[in-house]
Amino acid sequence: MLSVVDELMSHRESADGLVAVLQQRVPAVMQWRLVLEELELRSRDRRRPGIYRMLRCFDHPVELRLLAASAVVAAARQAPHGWGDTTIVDEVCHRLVVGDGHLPWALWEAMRSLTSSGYSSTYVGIAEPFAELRSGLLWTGRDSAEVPGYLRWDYPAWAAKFSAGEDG
Amino acid sequence: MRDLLAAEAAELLTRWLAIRKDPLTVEELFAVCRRVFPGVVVLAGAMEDVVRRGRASDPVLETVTLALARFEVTPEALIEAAWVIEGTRQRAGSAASAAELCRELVVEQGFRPWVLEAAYGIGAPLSDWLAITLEGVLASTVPDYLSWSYPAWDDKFR
Repeated sequence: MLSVVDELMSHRESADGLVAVLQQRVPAVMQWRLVLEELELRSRDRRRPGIYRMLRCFDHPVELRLLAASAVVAAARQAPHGWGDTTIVDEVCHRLVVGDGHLPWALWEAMRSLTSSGYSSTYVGIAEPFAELRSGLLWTGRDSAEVPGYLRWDYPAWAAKFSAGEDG
Repeated sequence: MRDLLAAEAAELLTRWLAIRKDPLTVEELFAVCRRVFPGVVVLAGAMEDVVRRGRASDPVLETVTLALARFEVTPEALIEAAWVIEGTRQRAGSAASAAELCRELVVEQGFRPWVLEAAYGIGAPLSDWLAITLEGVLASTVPDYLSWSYPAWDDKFR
């Protein structure tokens, strides 16, 4: 993923050009976001408003993140010592995103917040499923009948969102 | 300022635990900490740092982990606190002072300050607001609420 960031740093595309490269090289929506975050971090003094505008597409109200946090904790509680099977992780991610309608980046941020606080990762005992869910959300290529591309950038629910450049 | 205190507390606790060869009980650990540390939130942060970085021998680390559990900071508690913080923030609007809001959360609604502190990151825009709030409370409104003698947790960590 960092190699893509390096490549994009050397380009001077417009926002549309950047999107085209991302769509070609970074298939998963969550990885897309992480690449943009890294680009923004490295480009902060270079004023690339296209990156900022695209990152704004991942914005969401606090309430959605709090709902996502609750859902993540409930899911993690189902397997306090991990699932031990990526298929189950995929199913859980699928249920959270497709079934329950949570935004994957809201889930991601909720997990990042909960684990970065430290308390939950040290003694509550659900750090392992948090980590598994995070890797599940990052998951890119394994399109299958069970998980039909719901984390890809072109998944209908958010392909329209990003092409329209809407917020929220 | 509080970050500095927490970092110093973590170093102090780490140094003390490093020279401790024998296992100790949770009660013994808290007895020492009550004499050494100025407040419970600083101690929570220090213990969390020790556990996260594994900065103690295994038996001592186990005790610190058990002591940390006494603070009862669960993901559910963090999320509940984040919901209430956000609701309070929205209800109060910009007119209320940070200290007034924190007083409501801690004194009137009974939220533990270390839970509020740990809930910082759960709701994105809360961070700065709550940091200011806690500073405000530290400065004036509820001066004892972070100290060991604050009634709500005087007995809890004995």
